Amino acid sequence: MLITRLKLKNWLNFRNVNVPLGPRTNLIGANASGKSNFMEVFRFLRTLAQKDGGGLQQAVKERNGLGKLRSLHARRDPVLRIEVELLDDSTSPPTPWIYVLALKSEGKGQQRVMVAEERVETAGTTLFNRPDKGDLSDPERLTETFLEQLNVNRQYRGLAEFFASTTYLHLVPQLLKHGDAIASKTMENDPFGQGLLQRIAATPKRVRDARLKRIAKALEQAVPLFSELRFEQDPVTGRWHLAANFIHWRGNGAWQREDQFSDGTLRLIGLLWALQDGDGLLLLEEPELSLNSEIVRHIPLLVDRVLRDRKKGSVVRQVLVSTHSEALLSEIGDPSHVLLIEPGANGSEIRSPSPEELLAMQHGLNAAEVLLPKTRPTSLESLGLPA
Amino acid sequence: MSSIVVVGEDALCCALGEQLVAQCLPGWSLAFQPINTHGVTKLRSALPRYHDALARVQPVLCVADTDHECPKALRQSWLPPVANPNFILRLAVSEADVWAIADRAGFAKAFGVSAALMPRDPETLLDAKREVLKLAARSSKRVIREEVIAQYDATKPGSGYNLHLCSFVKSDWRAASAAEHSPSLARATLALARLRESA
Repeated sequence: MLITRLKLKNWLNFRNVNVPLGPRTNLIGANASGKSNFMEVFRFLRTLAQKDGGGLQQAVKERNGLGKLRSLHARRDPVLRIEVELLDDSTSPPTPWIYVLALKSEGKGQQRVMVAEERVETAGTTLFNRPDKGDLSDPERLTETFLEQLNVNRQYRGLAEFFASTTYLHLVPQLLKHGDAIASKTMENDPFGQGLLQRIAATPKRVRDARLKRIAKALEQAVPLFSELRFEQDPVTGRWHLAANFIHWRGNGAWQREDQFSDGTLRLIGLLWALQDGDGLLLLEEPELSLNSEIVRHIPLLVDRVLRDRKKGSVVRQVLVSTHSEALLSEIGDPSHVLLIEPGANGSEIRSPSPEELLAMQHGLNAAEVLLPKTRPTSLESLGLPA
Repeated sequence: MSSIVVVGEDALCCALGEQLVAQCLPGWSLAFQPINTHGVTKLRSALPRYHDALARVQPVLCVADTDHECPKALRQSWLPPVANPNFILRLAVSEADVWAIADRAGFAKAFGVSAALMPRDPETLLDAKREVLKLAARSSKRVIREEVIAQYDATKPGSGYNLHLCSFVKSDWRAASAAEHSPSLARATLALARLRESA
């Protein structure tokens, strides 16, 4: 499945969004413009559709209530609305799907979040449209979506499974390196990569070995002196560790464990593992961090290569990347799927490149030259230098 | 031994500049790694530094695309009327990709296509990138078909476009045979020959 278009109303700092998404979409914008908020929609839908500890109430609770999700710029309109257009490419011809979910507050009592509208359409047929008769006679039903309910969602379960399979990665190397010392809790779905080693350990050995082999192949090219990657269990503590061999003046090289890896190496390993783990939408938050710009330049190719290597049948894995990187953007072959966030007094606007911008990019300029300057804060000259 | 600095507006221009030095200036070496300005915007703004300052102490070869503009007019607007002879600005008509595919035999071999498909007069192409994509689509090599062309849109360059084109230029591209099919490249090789004589 692929998400082809996303429409939002009153979502976090966006009042209105209507943008197309491609198999590879790059999201750019200034700091605090809403890149992560945009990605948050897909994480919200994942919690909503998740079988294990998910659901609407949980998804809203995890985000501290509807009041925190609804846009501050919404003013009088109380409804938050998400509309996702999808294309199921496993059928021939591909089947279009639409999922609509609107939420509002109960307005009394516990102020629970209620479904104001929920609809699933496929190939022009509406499978259901809520609130329906049953909801009117029993308003309590509106505290749950149909999407999350196994006993009604049979016809569109693929949709729920797709939303639930979204992966978000923003690996923080220090959390992984110093996990024992920090003794921090790993969050649901491990967005910050603390549990990477446990996840690798939980993968069946054959699959794990094949994946690590691909990772090692990529690291060989990216990390100087890197020669071998192993995944091994400490005989004393029983904990699993990644060990890498670096060419060294000693004959057998120098073995290092993950707590000695550089931040860049760890982020690269996390990225390469996430690419191979799962089939759903992959959200990558600033994959360029800690990496040399020459490696960043090759991230799009790296992503394509790893995904192609593991491709089964015609399943396409969609990737959404948020970035500030000039190097990454200057390498994009198809700039039509760059999304640009522009903050304003009435919340952020998000848009695709305009026809003039596309024309410039077809004639000699690249996305880093045309689009990136538009994300720069205008008052940057005075940063830290009050007049 | 003399050395020269190569400046290019993208990775392909840098690779071409590097090869031009290696093939047209035997015995010369690069002063350091080619400078990739990642786009013509930055190249233009940095041009005075290369021309007014760097070229005083060291020859500079600068490679860029004309992007369908008149190369003469571009030269005039980019450089002062009396340019430093140590600064060699060469503009590929109409894109650096043209110089790459002008080596018909070399490109055909590296990309696994029949030499008969190679355009005879690549400088007249309206869109050289699209021509490369068309050729790549008929390649006998799977990795070329899959990475040079975008996976989801055959009219767009894929994420491996630059990588494969640059690695061809670095390993198999022959400037002399390419110059036969690209007048702008032929002029560039002549300019380098003049530099060699004057040095």
